[in-house]
Amino acid sequence: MQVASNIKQIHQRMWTIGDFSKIAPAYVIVSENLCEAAGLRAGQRVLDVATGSGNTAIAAARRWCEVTGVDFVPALLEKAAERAASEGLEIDFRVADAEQLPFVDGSFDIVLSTFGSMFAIDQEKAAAELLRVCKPGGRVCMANWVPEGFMSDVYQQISAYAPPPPGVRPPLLWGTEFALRQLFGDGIADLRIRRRSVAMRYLSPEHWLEQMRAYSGPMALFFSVLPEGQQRSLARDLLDLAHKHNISGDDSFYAPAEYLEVVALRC
Amino acid sequence: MDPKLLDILVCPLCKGPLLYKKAEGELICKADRLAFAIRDGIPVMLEEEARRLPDTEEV
Repeated sequence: MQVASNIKQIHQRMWTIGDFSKIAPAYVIVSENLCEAAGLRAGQRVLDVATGSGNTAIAAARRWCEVTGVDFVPALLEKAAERAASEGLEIDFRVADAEQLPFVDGSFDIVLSTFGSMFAIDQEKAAAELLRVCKPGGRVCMANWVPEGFMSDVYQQISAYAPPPPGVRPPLLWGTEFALRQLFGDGIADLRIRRRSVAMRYLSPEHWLEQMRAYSGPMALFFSVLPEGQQRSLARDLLDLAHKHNISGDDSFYAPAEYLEVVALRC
Repeated sequence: MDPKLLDILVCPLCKGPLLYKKAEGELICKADRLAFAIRDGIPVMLEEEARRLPDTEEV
């Protein structure tokens, strides 16, 4: 129990260092597409789990939904609230953990999570909470990185240097139909999945790495625990990866990152 | 805070009802004896951040 709680603290700190709001703009299109796939209707009650700087909550609010957004990093929620306010959107933000949502069962018509709940330490708990707060006949819709392609290669490269704690299952499992069916079990009546990709654009592969090291909490944390020699070597390996996946055809960086768009119908 | 939103808000641990103490800016779970703060209008519904109510504090 103590161990689990320590992992959770590290996990929380991981998303607090860095500034994910600097990376999230690239994923706005993922949130907009997810809201379309979810088949949102104006006036529906929507929850965005692990909203970060609010991409998906804002996309839903633009469609006249009544939106609540939760995240366990207060600094990101402040960014989200600023962004919502600048568009004159009313969104209810609160600090909460994807594994322990503070809502009555069946509170929401639609529950969304974009590259969010997939990073929870306890995957069963996170899945159970998504289902619990969704009303019967509602939909749980997610965007999850898949265990192939650019993001997967980056994850594996980092894991080779800084292995995840024992017992922690890879987040990218959420990008497979098999794991989704296991996690949601008989809580869902139908599962629709679609492979999509989102373009990562940076000025150069070096610029990509620089931005990741500065603003991605996980990346910053992994680098910070490595001795200097290994930091240099990990940086080299990640740059090689970026070059390998780069299809820009010029000096800039352009790599498609594949993800699974998930629409699960709650029983 | 919007009273309608308070309707669906429960304790993240026991999922039981919360008591809204407007003056203190806190949401109280009597069962778990936890007080969740409301900071800048945003309720902080994390167990680790909650104030544990001392036995002496009446709710």
